[in-house]
Amino acid sequence: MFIDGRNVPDGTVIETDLAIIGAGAAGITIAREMRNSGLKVILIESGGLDFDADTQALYEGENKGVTYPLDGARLRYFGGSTNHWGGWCRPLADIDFEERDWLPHSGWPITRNDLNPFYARAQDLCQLGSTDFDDHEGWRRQANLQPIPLAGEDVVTRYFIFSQPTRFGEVYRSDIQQTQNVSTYLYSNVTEIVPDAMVNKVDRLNIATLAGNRFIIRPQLCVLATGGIENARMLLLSNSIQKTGLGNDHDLVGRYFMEHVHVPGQVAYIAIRDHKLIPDHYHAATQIGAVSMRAVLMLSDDFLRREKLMGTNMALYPMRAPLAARQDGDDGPDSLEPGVLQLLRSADIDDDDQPSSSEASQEMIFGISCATEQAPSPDSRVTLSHRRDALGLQRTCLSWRPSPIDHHNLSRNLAAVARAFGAWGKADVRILFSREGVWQEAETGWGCHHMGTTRMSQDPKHGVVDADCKVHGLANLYVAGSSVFTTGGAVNPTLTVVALALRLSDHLKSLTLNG
Amino acid sequence: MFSRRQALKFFGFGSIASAGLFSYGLTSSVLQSRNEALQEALLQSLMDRHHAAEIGKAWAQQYRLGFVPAKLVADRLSQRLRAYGWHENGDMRGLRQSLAAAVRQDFLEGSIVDVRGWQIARTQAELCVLAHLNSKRV
Repeated sequence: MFIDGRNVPDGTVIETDLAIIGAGAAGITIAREMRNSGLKVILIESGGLDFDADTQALYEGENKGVTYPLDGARLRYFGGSTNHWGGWCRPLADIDFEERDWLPHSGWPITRNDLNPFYARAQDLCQLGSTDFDDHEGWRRQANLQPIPLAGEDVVTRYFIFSQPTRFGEVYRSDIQQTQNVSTYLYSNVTEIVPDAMVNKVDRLNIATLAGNRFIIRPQLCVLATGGIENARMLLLSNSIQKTGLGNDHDLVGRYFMEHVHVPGQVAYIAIRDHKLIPDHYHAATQIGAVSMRAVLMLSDDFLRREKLMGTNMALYPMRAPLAARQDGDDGPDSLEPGVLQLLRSADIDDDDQPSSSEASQEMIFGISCATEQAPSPDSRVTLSHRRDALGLQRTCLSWRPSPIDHHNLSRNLAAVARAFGAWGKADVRILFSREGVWQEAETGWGCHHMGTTRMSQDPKHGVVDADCKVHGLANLYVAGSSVFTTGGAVNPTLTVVALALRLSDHLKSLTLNG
Repeated sequence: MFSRRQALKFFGFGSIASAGLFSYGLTSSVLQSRNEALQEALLQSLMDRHHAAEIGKAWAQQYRLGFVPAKLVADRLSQRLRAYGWHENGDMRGLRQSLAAAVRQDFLEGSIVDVRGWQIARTQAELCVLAHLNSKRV
């Protein structure tokens, strides 16, 4: 059942077993999992079923670091940011969950194995059609897809599987609408999560609409699922009783904001002897039966452990035919390209041991674009601005800037890629990424992947939520979404968000079964 | 990565050694023509000397290498390629195979030169320097 919150009479108090704040990927997943649970569930969504500019404007905020599009990087209506999701899916790797002695603040309290059964279920919800992400043999058997035979073990081929992309607000709308025990309140904004006087548990949710009416929801259990930035803002805004905000006894709420730094354009060129040596599935989504997939290059876990680095994923794009000849007097950045290609020809021995042809017709310049892991930092954070939104709530203030550690990390990973291609003997790499050790303004991009602001740790001094995603110190408040990520890995977060939401759903159901 | 310091060490010490050879009068026109033949044999592996020379020039400028004798470069290169099976009386295929093996090893060991962002094997970079020095001689 959908209810327009603007029509709820002022002062109404609604009792419920479970309140879910936010109808994005996580919130819809949990609400859907609560079918037949016997619980009375209320799903609360700030927006309606379609985009609304006034509601979206509630996302506006201020930046103290890189100019980050706070109102454009997420969507505030039923389905949340899945309404503009690109659909790239891949689970985090084993190493992403581990405590890495070279990476301060790393180490989830759960492992990849703990999430494996939920990844399997998440692929259904995300409509992937397969979980065989790195089954090289399977891809070869099904479609004769081969990985690029790069030299060494440091740079490896990994696969993304694409969601349709699943717009959760469209695909699961009728499920949610028809589920008897779930009521969805649209155009309803939680303005505060109010705890009891002892701050032991959530007592009520204050709701306001842009039409001006206000009402209250009293839940037995509450899940905050408003996204990687808004989850932190909501906890900070919930400060009428606990002045520093909920779950913030150790000043952690909002800290450790992470992105996947996306360098705009290319970070490197690959000059390759024959464009066919980089198969199509590396530079375009490739359909194999019901599955749409694409190969990327990543760094092996062994390499990252040995070199004490973080992950990067790199996609390849065919760009252009190489320059045929250097123009006299041209000392520009591409002027050495013809020389590099002839060096490749000079040292390239074909399989039949004959020197390869000097013809350049098959040669190609590919670009490498990348998304790279960011080291968690307490100074990278969401706080409250002094400016207020249309509901009178303090807006978001984001302080985000990639660090020199992140820069060094990407430089080292690109050098590994250059070694792997060079030793293969069929390609050479030109690194475009700056060597100065600091991020240039033009190099600092993002993927709309907001992570880490209510990080997971068993120790309340190091995290906002525990391994069950329950807020430390509050008996009935849980957080769903990428804000609980302890570290971000180097892959898109949505599949992991859905897997974690499924895991939380099972936990909530087990709680209610046990009384 | 092959640094400027390493490049200077390599070519710098070589220059002194080379000067020493000259000062003891051990060179002769025979030795000189033999080395020129060696240089020519090595440069035969390049399909386009002109563009290779541009890389060599760019590297020398970028690392401010100063004067480097072609003889020294050729000696060092031939020594390395011999370790991969090359000999001066061999054919072009043998030269290319040795070059390919040396280049692969350079990359695996990280013996790489950065020339305007291009990551080039040290062996090939030195071949380019040789092409550059020969182009000046011509």
